[in-house]
Amino acid sequence: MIKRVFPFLNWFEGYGLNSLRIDLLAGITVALVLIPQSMAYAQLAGLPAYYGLYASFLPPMIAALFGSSRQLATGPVAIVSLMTAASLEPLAAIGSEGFIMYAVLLALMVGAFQFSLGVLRLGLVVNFLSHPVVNGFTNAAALIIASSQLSKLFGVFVDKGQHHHYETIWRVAQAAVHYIHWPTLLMGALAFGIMYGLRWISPKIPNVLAAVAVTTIISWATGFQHNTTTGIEAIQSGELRQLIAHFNQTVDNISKFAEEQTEVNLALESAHRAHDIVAVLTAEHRASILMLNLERIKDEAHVYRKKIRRYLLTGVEQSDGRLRFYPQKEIPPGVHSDGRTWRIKVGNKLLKTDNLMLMGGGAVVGAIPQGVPALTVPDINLKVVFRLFPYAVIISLLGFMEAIAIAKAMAAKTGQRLDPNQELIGQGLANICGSFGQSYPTSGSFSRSAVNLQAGAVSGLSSVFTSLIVVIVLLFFTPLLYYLPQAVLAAVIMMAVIGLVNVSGFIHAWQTQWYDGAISIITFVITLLVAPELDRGIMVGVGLSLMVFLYKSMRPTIATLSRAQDQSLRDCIAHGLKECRYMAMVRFDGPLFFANASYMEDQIMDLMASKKELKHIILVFNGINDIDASGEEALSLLVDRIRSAGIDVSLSGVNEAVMKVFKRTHFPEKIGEDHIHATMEKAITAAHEKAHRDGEEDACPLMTYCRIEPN
Amino acid sequence: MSIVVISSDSYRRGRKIGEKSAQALGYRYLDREILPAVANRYGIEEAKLIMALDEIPSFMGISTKLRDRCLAYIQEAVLGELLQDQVVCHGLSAHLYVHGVSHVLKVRILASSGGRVGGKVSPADVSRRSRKKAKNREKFARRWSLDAFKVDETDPSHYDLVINLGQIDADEAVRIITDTVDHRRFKPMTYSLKCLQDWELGSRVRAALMEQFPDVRVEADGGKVVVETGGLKREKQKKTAAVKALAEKIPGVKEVQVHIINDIFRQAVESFR
Repeated sequence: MIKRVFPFLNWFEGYGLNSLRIDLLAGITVALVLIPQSMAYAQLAGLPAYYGLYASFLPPMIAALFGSSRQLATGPVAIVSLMTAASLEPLAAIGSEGFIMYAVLLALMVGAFQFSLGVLRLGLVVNFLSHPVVNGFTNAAALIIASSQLSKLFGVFVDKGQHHHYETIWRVAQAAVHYIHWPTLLMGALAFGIMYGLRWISPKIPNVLAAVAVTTIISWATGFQHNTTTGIEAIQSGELRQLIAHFNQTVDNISKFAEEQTEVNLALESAHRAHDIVAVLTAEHRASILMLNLERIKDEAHVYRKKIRRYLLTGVEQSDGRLRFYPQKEIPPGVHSDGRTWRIKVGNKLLKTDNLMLMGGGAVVGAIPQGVPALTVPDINLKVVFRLFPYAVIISLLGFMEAIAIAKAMAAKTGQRLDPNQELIGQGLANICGSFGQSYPTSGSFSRSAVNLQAGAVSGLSSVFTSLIVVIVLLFFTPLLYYLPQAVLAAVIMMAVIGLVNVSGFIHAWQTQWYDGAISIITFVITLLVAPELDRGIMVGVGLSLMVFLYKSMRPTIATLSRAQDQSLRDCIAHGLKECRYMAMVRFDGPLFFANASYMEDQIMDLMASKKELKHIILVFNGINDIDASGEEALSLLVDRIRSAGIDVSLSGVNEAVMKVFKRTHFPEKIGEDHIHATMEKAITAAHEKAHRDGEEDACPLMTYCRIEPN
Repeated sequence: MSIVVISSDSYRRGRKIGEKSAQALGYRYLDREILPAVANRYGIEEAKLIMALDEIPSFMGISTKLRDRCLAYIQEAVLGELLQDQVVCHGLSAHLYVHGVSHVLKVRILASSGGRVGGKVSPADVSRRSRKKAKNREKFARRWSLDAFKVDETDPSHYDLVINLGQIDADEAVRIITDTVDHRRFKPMTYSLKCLQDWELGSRVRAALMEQFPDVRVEADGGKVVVETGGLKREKQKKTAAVKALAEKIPGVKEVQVHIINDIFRQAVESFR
């Protein structure tokens, strides 16, 4: 029992110093991949890069300790990071304190959901996400993730699209046509080159780490980031100064409106509590007007931001060493510029006119707080919890699907037993404990788990060592990451999503069943269209696959059988076989239950109506694996109806589960024990002579092979 | 004529019985003395071959890759010798890789599994220490054989004969072996000879491919050889051609079929996901 609660106690059976050494080495190897990857994924999740390190501190260790797989490497992964950003974007500004707080809360919710599923042994719930749906979703997610990194790769800044992801991409494209920061793009290209090159030349070298190390050194040595602050008087463009003033006024108005909105919301709540309908309506009216005004003013702010960002400035050094900034097309003749292109850094906040931030270089990760994050319980806001719940469910299931897929493959290779429910408990606890350490949602990583396995990890201790190395990095090495270019993290993310693209998945699904292919494509298209609200895409997919499942259950295949060339009994239509005039052998493929019982009745009635000389019907039960009360009742009524029409009926191939039901309901007495046969052949033999007495058929298609001759 | 393969928990005592049996039967005796020749043929140190037979791969010791390569070379040499027939083989783990060859008598010698009951030494006389030692040796043998060949060599069901030297002395053991090998069941038949030939051909192909394709699996049937190795989709053509080029050169190979098994773990590593 104690080993079920603490599965890690099993690790130490036959564990020696040698295993410890191997685990240590594997742990270090995984950490070398995890550290840069986690920072990239945190960026994808809309969080400061160092939150990736926070998500790599507790989750790998806890998941290994309480999970079932010994080699599964848990931590930040691409899909979960994207879903985190998608779920939080409507609630708070990316990277803001609120956003971070909600990300941590989301981790707690995901953990609690996974843990509950595991404890209740409901791991099978993941089956609701069918392969075609997941394939369509991941392919779309891959495109969304890759395209979301374009701005960082080009070194341009844009506002996110108001409703759709493709609006953002369009804005990035427009900004990139206007201006590309070439050193940033080169840095990204170099990272790609290193990662791809090493993959071919020496796959054993951790290529992500190599790319990060090389580019960080270059960034530090060349002064890649080149920011400066200045007063507005240094800007030598009246129009730009005016734009800054207008922008600040608009931002000021936004904050006033936001304050007013809070007041109105409070008034609305108190009116609801007091059941004062008039006050509720008044407050709602005010809230609607405020909302409209806020949207209008946000649009204005966006327009100003866009205009400010389009200004490309050139610095001209003054006699006192300070820089004056001229629009590039308005440099006075005879003046020597510093050769850089300067841009004003503008976001959602007021621009400080006495301390404007200008960027003359590329973007880097920047300062990372040194030390391990403080362990605190996340703030639980019930309103936010309700809003995030659907996302938490999807993230839980998607994350777990990814984790269990690689865990199963590894268990098959190592010969270990894998308990999916225990794995859910491990993943759940990892996310719960992770949220106490400022982690955002995590999951089992495909690539890092494979790295762990290939490094020979014997037990989950390798993941414990990974966590410890992350702690060491947080304590002592964060200053080294300051100069890491953001474009490199974007390149790392893009490399990861290439692995998510699986076009053959669509083809395979289509070849298997056209409707699976269609569901996959529909999920893909809808996810792309509704992005960033990714939950809708997946919900549509799940809805469609459930509808198909229901339809197929309601309309199972009902086949009439005849003797085929190989002497077996096969579907007449599929094999072009003649049907017997006096006997019909009908096979029902699927469980007989309330949803399809009447369908079977209708089909048999149609058959009787179409064959006037019919004397006997054999119901082939080989395909019926289950029957419920409605099914049994429908069958019983059907027997009555068939017999009342002067036709005899018998059954063949009834399996044990269905026979048990028949015996409980005394069905064999009703149909006659001699009318239930073990095999189809026996059923034909028993009924053939009587059914064919006085018959005019030359050869019975149930006894001999009779093909329908083509006209 | 037959083949005797002896496995023992004590190399020294197993060797003694092996040599005596070979002498009594007039067969050749095959032992680790062939290792220098194997080392010479494949350009590998003899010490590595001995390590592969005696050690479990570890961080500081022999690597899994090298161990598997060494064992493939030894296997190839041993099977080549067994094909000559009339051999007593000991100490080269042949019992773990000669399957389904009915004219091979597989013998397990238990030299340290306990005392003689009712004889000179009672179970009580066997010290706890030596019993523990024997147990550890058995545990190691199980781990080693499972790790190297996925077969538990301590499982008696893998042998035709298990002789406990605690009960039966060495000369009696030799007599039992020589009597048993005379049994009709251990005479070479067409099928069992073909089976051994197939193993031998497969081992030659595998030994030739091991250096380039450490995970290679080979099955031979007549002159037809099926080779399986892991790889990525993009490597399929290149690997297939390389395997064919190497395998087709080996005498006795008439046809080579190559299956590249998708290496999902390498694929996962490269996916960066």
